[in-house]
This record gives sequence, C-alpha cells and structure tokens, in this order.
Amino acid sequence: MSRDDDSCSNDSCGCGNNDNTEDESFHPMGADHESEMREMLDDTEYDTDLGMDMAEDAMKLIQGEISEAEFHDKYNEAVVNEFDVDDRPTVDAFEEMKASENDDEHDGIFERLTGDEGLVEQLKNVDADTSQSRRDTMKKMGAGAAALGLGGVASAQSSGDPKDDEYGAEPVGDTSASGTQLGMVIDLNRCDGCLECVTGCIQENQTSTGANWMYVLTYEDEKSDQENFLVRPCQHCTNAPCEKVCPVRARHTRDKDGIVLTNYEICIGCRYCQVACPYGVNYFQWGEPDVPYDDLPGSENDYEELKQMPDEDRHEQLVDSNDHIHDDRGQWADMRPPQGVMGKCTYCPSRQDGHQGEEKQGTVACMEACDAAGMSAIHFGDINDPESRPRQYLKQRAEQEFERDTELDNGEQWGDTVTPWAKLSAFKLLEDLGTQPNVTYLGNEPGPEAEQIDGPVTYEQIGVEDNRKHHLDQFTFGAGDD
Amino acid sequence: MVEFQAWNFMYPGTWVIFIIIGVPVYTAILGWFLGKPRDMEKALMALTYLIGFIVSMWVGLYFLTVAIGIVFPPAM
Amino acid sequence: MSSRTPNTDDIVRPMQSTAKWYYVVFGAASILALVWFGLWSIQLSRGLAVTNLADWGSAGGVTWGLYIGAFIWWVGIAHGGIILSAAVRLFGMKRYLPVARLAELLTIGALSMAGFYIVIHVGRPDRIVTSVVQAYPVTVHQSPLVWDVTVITMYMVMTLTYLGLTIRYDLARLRDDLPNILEPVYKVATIGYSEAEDEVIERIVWWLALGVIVMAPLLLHGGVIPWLFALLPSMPGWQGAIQGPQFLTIALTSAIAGVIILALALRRAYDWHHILTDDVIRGLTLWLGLFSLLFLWLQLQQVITGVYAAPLDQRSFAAAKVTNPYYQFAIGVVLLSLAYIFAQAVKAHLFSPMRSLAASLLVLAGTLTEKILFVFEGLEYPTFDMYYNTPGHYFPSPIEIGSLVGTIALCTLFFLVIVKVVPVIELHAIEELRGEGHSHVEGDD
Repeated sequence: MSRDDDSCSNDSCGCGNNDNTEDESFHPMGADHESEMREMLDDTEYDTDLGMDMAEDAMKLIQGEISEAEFHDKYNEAVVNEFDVDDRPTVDAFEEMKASENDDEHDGIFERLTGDEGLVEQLKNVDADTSQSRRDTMKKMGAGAAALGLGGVASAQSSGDPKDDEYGAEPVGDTSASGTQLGMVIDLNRCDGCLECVTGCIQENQTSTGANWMYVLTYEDEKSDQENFLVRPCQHCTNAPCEKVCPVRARHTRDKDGIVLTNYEICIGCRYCQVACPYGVNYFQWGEPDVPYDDLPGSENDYEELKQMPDEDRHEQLVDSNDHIHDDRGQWADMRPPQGVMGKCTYCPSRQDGHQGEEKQGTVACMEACDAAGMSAIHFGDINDPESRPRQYLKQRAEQEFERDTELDNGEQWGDTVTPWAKLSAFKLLEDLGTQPNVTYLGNEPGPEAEQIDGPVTYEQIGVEDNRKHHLDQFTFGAGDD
Repeated sequence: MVEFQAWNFMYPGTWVIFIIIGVPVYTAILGWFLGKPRDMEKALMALTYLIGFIVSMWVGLYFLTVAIGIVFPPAM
Repeated sequence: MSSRTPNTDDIVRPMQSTAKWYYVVFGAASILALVWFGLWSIQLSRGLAVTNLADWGSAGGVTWGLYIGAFIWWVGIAHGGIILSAAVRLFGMKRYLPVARLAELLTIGALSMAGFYIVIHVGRPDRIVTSVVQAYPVTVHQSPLVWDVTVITMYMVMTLTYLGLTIRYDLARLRDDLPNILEPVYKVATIGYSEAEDEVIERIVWWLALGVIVMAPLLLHGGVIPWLFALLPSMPGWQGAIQGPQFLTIALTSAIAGVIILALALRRAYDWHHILTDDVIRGLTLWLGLFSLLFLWLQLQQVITGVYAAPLDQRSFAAAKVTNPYYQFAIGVVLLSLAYIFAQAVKAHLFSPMRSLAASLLVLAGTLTEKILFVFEGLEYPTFDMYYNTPGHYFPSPIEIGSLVGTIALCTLFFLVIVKVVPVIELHAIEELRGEGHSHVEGDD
C-alpha cells in the first residue's frame, strides 16, 4: 500500500501517519544513534553534513538502491574538496563506468572489433567450458523426452505462455548463474536471538500454533564458548529434495525467481516433502487452521477465476484486494495452508509480486522485522545479482574482514592475490547433502554435537509455542482432552 | 572427482519405471502375443482384463475419494 | 492325516452351506470394521491431529508412523500370492498347488488394505486421485511415491488378471454346483470360454507369473517401497542399499506367515485337512524358517554396521534401535519362531499345525513391529538433530491402533465373502491330488 495510506492496520509498516513507526531516521539503529553520530562528526574538523549525507547514501548502497559507481560519482567532487583525495573502494566501479562510456562513444569500427572491449577480445574471453546450463539441458531433455513419447516432461517446461503454471519441469532446479534466484545472507554475528523475525513471520502468515516457519535456535557447541544462534528459514534449495519427491507437483520451484512453493490447491498432504527435507522446515496443518480462511486478505478472490483472467487484470485485482494468499499466477500458495496440507516459509511471494505494494517488493516479513528491531541480520534478495542487498552485504562484510586482518601485511592488495572471501566465515547448512541451499550464513557453523538451548529470549516469553507436539497432543483422540 | 550428474542424463524415474519395472511387464505381455501356443484372441482378452482392472480400480478409487470430499469437507 | 480322497464337493462346500461359526465371525468382523469406520470418520472430520503424529524437528514429533508401517506390512503379506503361484507354475512345486489360489486371494485382500492405508494416511484423501493423475506424466520421472503407486497398481492388476484367467477353468466346470444367484457374475467371468483355451490360458498365466515374480518381490517390496526411504538425504536410519534386501525378506516372511494362517483357518472351517495337508503346512513352515533367518541376518548387518564405528548420525539411530524394548520384542519373537522351525526340522515329531500357526502369528507381530519402528525411529533421529525437540517422540494413538484392528477385520470380511463366490482351491489341485492331474506345470517335485 502507499505510504500515504492511513488505513493500514499493521502497526509498524511505515505507511500513513497513524502508526508508531520507529523514528524517521535513515539508520536502522534509530534517530538517537543518528544524533550521536552527528555529534561525533561535529567534533572533527571535517564537514558534518557531508559525512551524514554520505552515510545515508551508504545505507542505500547496501540496500541496492544505488550503484557503487553512482555513489562514487555523487560525492567525488565534495570528497576531493574536503580531503584532497578520494580513495574510496567505490573508485573501481566508477572508473569502469567512465571507461565504458568513453569507449562506446568514440570507437571506430576497427577499434570496436579489435580493441580492449572489441569483439575479438570478447570472443577470446568466452568461457571454454562447454557444459551448458542446466536449464538448457533440461529444455533439450524435454525435446528428447517428447520424442520418446514422454510428453509430460516436455509440456511441463515453461512455455512462455502467461497461463503456464511456470512450474518448470526441473525438480533439480536451475544451477546456471543467470536468472533470478531469491535467497538470503544471514549474519549470525548480528543476530541476538530477539526472535522478532519469528513473530514477524507468524503475523505475516497467520500460521497455526507451533508452525514456526521462521525459527531461531540458540545453541551450545563444544567448539565455541560464545552464545551461538542459527536462524532457520526454508533454504529454498536449488536442488530441493522436497520438490523431487512430491507426487502431485504441489511442491515446486517458481521459475521466475527460484523460490520453492507449495500449491495449496493440489497438495494431498502425504508429507513426503517433510520427510525428505533434511532441515525440518515443513509444518503440516494437522487440524483446522487457527485463523479462518475468510480472515485472510485475498480470500474473497477465487483461485479458479483468477487463473482465467488476463495477467494485467489479475495483477490489478490482486493488488487492489491487497491479496496475501495468491501469487501472480493466481495460485493459492501464500500464508498458512488449509487443513491436511503442508506449509513452510514461502519467501512471501505476495510481497515479491507486488500485491502488498511496491515498497514491499524485494522484502520479506522476517527481514523487515529484523531491520525494525535494529539488527539487520537478514539480507534477502536476488543472490545472482551482484547489486542486490545480500550480495552487497556479503561483499561489504568480506571487505571488512580483509581490512581487519592485520597479519596479512606483505603488500597484498585487495582482489590481487588474496580473496576477501577467505577471511569471512561463511557457510551453508548441510552443504554436503547436495541440496544447494540458497541461504548463506556468516558466523560459526554448528558442529556435529551442537545442541539447541534456551536463548536470551525464549519462545515462551514471546508467546510462541515451541513444541508443537505438546499442543497437538490435546487433539489426540482417546488419549487427549477431547 | 568423477562428476556424474544423474539427473542431467535422464531423470531416475524414467529408467526406473520404463526400463527396470517395465521389462517384466513388457515380457509378460509380449509373451502373451509372441509365445506358443499363440492365440491372438486370448492374448487380447488377457490384455483387456489387465487394462480393465487398472481403469476400474482407479475409477472406483476416484468415486470413493469424491464421496469423502462431500461427506467430510476439509477446512480451508 | 486323512486318507480321504479330495473331490469337487470339497471345494464347493463353502458356497453350498453356511455354518454357525460363519455368522459369528462375520458379525464380529463387521462390528470391528464399523467401529473402525467410526474412528476414521472422526479423523476425516477433525484431521490427522487426532493421531499422535506431529512435525519432526522443532515440533518434537514424527510425521509418519503406524499408518505407513502398516501399509508396508500389508504389502509384504500380499506377496504370498506370487510366491506361491511362481513356486507352482514356474518352479513346478506342485505340492503347493492347493494353497496357491488362497495365496492369490490374500494378495488381493492385503493389497486392498495397503491401498486403503494410503487413503487413511494422507491429509487430503478427497484429492488424492485427481492430484496424482494430473501430475503423473511429470512425477513418474522423479517421485519414488509415484513409482510406488505405479508398481502397486501393476501388481494388483496382474494378480487380478491372473485370478480372472485361471478361475475360468474352475467356473466352467463347477457351474452347476455354484449358487444360482451369482449366475450373472459367472457368466461374465467365463465369457468366451471353451475348453480349447485351457492350454493357451495356462501359457498366458505362466508368462504373467514370470513377470510378477521379478516385479513384485525384487522391484516392489524389495524395490520401490524401500526406495521411498533409502533414497532420501535426511534420515540416516533409512539411508543405504540394505533396505532393498531387508524389505524383501520382510515380504517373504510375512507372506508365508499369512498363507499359513489362512490355510489353517480355512481347512479347519471347511474340513480340508486332506487337501491343505500337514505336508503342505510343513513345507510352508520350512520356507518361513528360511525367510525368517534371512530377515534376522539382514537385521544383524544393520546392527553391526550401526554400532561398530558408524558416523555419528547413524550411530545415534542404531543405538536407539537396539535399546528399544519393542525392537527387542520384534527380533525376539522371530527368533522364537525360528527356534521352533529349526527344532521341528531336526525332530519331525515336534511339528504341529498349531505350533506353526503360533510361529506365523509371532512372525507377523514381529515384522509389523519392526516396520513401524523403522518408520518412526528413522524420523526421530534425523541428520539435522540440533533441535532440542529431536529425538522426537511417538507412540501409536488409539485411532492408529484401531486402523490395524479395522483392516484385519476388513480383510477377514473380504475372505468371508469371497469364499462364497468362487472356489478358493483350484480345481487343478483336486485333479492333481486325485492323480488326474494334467495341469501344465513345469517339471516335477
């Protein structure tokens, strides 16, 4: 919804005038922190306003709203005036941009063919690796399969037809580097176990008691003495076992952004996805959902009707009705599942598709809650896009680690012989199972003997049921309280 | 490390069902038509039994499940 | 041991008269089945929350339990049909001809119960057919569950076809002794029958048995069913190539145990001691012993591999398994049966049909327990066991246990009905026993 709309009943989304949003500071830690910074800058001999402006734009840079080159360009003159040099790391991006501008404008044909940026150079640089992307292989396989009369596979390919269910036929997923793949970078060092992300997810999705799609484990590990956290959303694996085993194609990967969704209209509740997933992110709707269907925003839309509509009309309908339960295909796949059906973290497709307003696109409820809480541990976005928030964050943290490492003092330059990534403790969960998860963690990896313990904030304290079995036991016939 | 991406070559189910499981079934059916004593009429009759049973099983199951859905509508 | 000569009157007896015990058993089974339907209705309306199942992981439960364990068990029992028919028609063991059709019918009954368990187990049975069928062209290439559905369907229809074809010979000749009220049924069943087809049909069912003996034990119970578990990356207790052979031995043991129980029950009911002779029971008992030995041998493989120096996640599972008293019970009762079977093989006078019956019941109890444990213990000990709520907890709830009673009652009812409709002992068997045998079975015993 638009920022001027006062009718939103969500407390902290930032819309309208009648919420108690956090103070209007650009800094995630709030206006108080901002004034503190301002005071510190005042104490120096340099321009405070320049510093504050650059900080604000630096935030935008991290969030992917402006590019490195733009950031560099905007402040280049002012920085040179103030400091006589501009050695910011963004200079590289800036120079590249300048160079390509010059080339394009002035090169003659000969230069274009044989110069540095010329065709010949480009051809030389083409990757000699002839292995085609998996997506291409699958398309070819589709043709081959069709030839074998196995028409099902071929027809299940995304055909570009807007009415196509866009499931894609590859349960293995597309491992090519091109195409959007939504994922996360989660900085476990910034997480403090506040569980705001858990609450945010529950509120967003109206999940039933104990179905904690977003989950945070505080754990102890013989390897380290410190308090450890593990934030566990669905990993939205590229090679998702849950998708492979689904007998009805309810569990599928959405082609356009690589998120793994459950089609609530088709799922038969066999729970095989839950059994195949090594991470334990699936939560079945064992009984009647806590929140009635009619209370869900968008439930007035009929999914059969939605599918019949042309794309633009459907999109308009979904945006107008602030529909949280259907994605842009008109498929019911968001928010809590109905009885007898499987649910899990969805990466909020109704947000990605713009149904909750443009400003929510590219965000997820858990990240929003984490940002609002001041931690910004969760960074969600297109992990194939170097400009995206998670990628930028990863780069920024890598650079920080590199800087921090004083032992490496033998003249090595950034990017030359030492990759900054080596300094960063980044891992993926259960990577050797081959699921290709799309969540990259920064921080300590849990060892084999890691065990969950109560955190600084317990689930009980925030009123969330942790042991769902305890809750479900009351419904057991003949042994419960019925 | 030898790289054999099984799913790149062919989906497992394709050869599991249509080759591994298939062979005993194809053998049986081909045996009806090609084995001795050869009787096309009876072989076709056997095939009709086979297909008839598949159809009636699934149609019967379909009606059962539709009935379940009517008598016990699930909560959305 | 009776010296009576079997004749056709024997095999039509069930259809011509009904004793008091029939009504009693029918009544009891019906009541139990109705109670089960009542319980099932509660589950259908309130959802699977009425069971003791729950999500694994943070939630502290297991998501598959007795329903799936029992499903596997019933499929195992269903393998009796092909084992006996293959023995008779492919390997020429004419000794078992009298019990072959019974075993085939057990296959139909048991597979029906297995299929029923799938309907009971899923959260949305109302959609199961439409959802599976619409996705089939794609999912058949990738989902082990769909492979399972495919092969079970094939086993069921191949067995039905086998029965449908072999019954023609019997019905055509026994027509006059069969109940008139079912005349339309018999007419359809013997459509186009002429004696000239006998030889051809024998050949056709020979090919059928050949296909099924490869498909069912090796690729169904020793194939797609264990693959449901063994192919997954998530549960170390399930992983591994041993599950195929292990499940196969379960099929073999449960199948023979089921046939022994059925044979003993029916021969008592219809005075068939001279047809389903002690000799047949003895033979089946020995096979039960061999298969039980193989079952225990494969359990040994898993135990030793799991406890010696296995990776940590497999080790937790193995430790939990061997220390579980229910597992010890399962292995214990199979060992006990094996002890008896070995003893009577050494000293023939130790054999008694009642003891074989007891051994069969124990084996069935043991294999059922072991299967249910396999399913839920696997889920209690996942690879990702950091959660404080893992290992999870599970014990079958009253409704789940009710399903066991209900399906056994339904299977009983199935037999009570079928015994009145078709002869459950092949006419060929009677002919063979009378020395009139001209059935085209391979070789000689």
